[in-house]
Amino acid sequence: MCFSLSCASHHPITCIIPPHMLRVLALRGDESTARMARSLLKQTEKLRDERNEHATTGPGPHGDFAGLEAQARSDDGSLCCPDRRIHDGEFKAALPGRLLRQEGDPSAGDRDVDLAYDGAGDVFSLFAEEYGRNSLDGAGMPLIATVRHRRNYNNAFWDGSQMAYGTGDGQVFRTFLELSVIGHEMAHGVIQHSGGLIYENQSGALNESIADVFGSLALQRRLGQQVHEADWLVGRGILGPGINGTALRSMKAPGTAYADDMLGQDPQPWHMDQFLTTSDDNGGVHINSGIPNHAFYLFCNYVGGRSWELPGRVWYRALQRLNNPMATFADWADQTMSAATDLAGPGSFETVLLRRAWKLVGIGI
Amino acid sequence: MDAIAGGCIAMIIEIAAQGGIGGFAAPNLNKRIDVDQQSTQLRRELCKVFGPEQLARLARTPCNACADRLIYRITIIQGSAAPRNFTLREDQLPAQMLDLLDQF
Repeated sequence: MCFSLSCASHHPITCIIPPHMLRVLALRGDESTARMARSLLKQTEKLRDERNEHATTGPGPHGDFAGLEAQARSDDGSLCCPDRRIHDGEFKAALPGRLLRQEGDPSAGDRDVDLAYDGAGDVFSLFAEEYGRNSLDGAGMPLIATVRHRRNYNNAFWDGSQMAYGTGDGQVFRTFLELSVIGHEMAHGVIQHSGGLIYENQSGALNESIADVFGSLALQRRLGQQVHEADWLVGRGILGPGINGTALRSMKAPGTAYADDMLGQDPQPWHMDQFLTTSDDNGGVHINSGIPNHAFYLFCNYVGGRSWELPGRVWYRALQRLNNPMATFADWADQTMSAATDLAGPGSFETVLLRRAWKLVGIGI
Repeated sequence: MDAIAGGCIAMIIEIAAQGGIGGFAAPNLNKRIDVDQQSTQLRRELCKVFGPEQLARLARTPCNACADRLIYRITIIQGSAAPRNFTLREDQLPAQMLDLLDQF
């Protein structure tokens, strides 16, 4: 089906490639192909907008277009040092804001700035020392972050080139400067520069899950925790004082992180039988991520020991080898099995345990 | 007079937000702005940036990095005309517009 306005030009790509493939090309194509795909997507959106001039909803979510390179390792092998740059957003929306602390500076005496600085260092260290990755892009990119982004802002995000953290409004959220959250946002950068996963439906939920996995591993490694010592919570302690909940998500027990009058019940499933089909939240990316999250937890629990070691290496290797921005949960499970086979050997105890973990969440491989 | 010049007589802006790192609706971001009740300066700014044509243009902006972004559902009610609805991610809104939102 051709949505393009440019069909009259008879450009083969213009008329043949449907929007979901254009998103992949925008994400993965070389510079000129990506530019062309973005242009066509923009035209598609314009056409859709014109068709729905009086519709009640705007265009749906789009893929993540920024990741045009999948460089995993620095060519010169320099992995030693992060280049952190922490800014003060001064409660405004413009990024990055005023630079308050950069690499090598002593403590700024500002709790938010120092938490962002130390957290970025911990996450850099996880990827560099455990997986041999030089920063988020694999090529030593600066770790730029803004604290105090907007006023009473209840969110944190990766914008394609930097992290931004709100303070929370003090009611729903009290902070976002917690290591698993910092790791989650930075992992979105790693995912973007590892080929990307389109941020909707199952591929989007995988994007979210992989970000949760490395956020949790950054925290566990910082605390020196064995698998049974970790709480497997993402965002523990960031909810406001009046909220009945402990965290944003639980990888150990998806669906149990909060149950609150204002927020409702944590909707995360842990099994494919409870997979939620919805148009909200980019197709439930923060909801269905509970399924691969729980598979990772089960695998770690079966293997034992330090989760950032073999299980983390398996997940990292799978991410580097995936090469499929529209991957489904089953695709990802297959990729983790290939990675486990590479790292632990065919027919190894670890591959048997990984297969069991995926089976327990309803995904057979 | 500024509001009339800006083409937003009796305009009401309703904004609901969802998504973000938690994936749920952000209750403190449900807002209703009665443009006529604002100061002249604010009214001028609101009329300028929340016009339906401007919102429709912003909604066409491709996503560069969508992860964990808030999604705003904006309804513009203008006089007796049918309400206009727009869905925009926060990365589609300029910083000036977000700062304006944060004032309410």
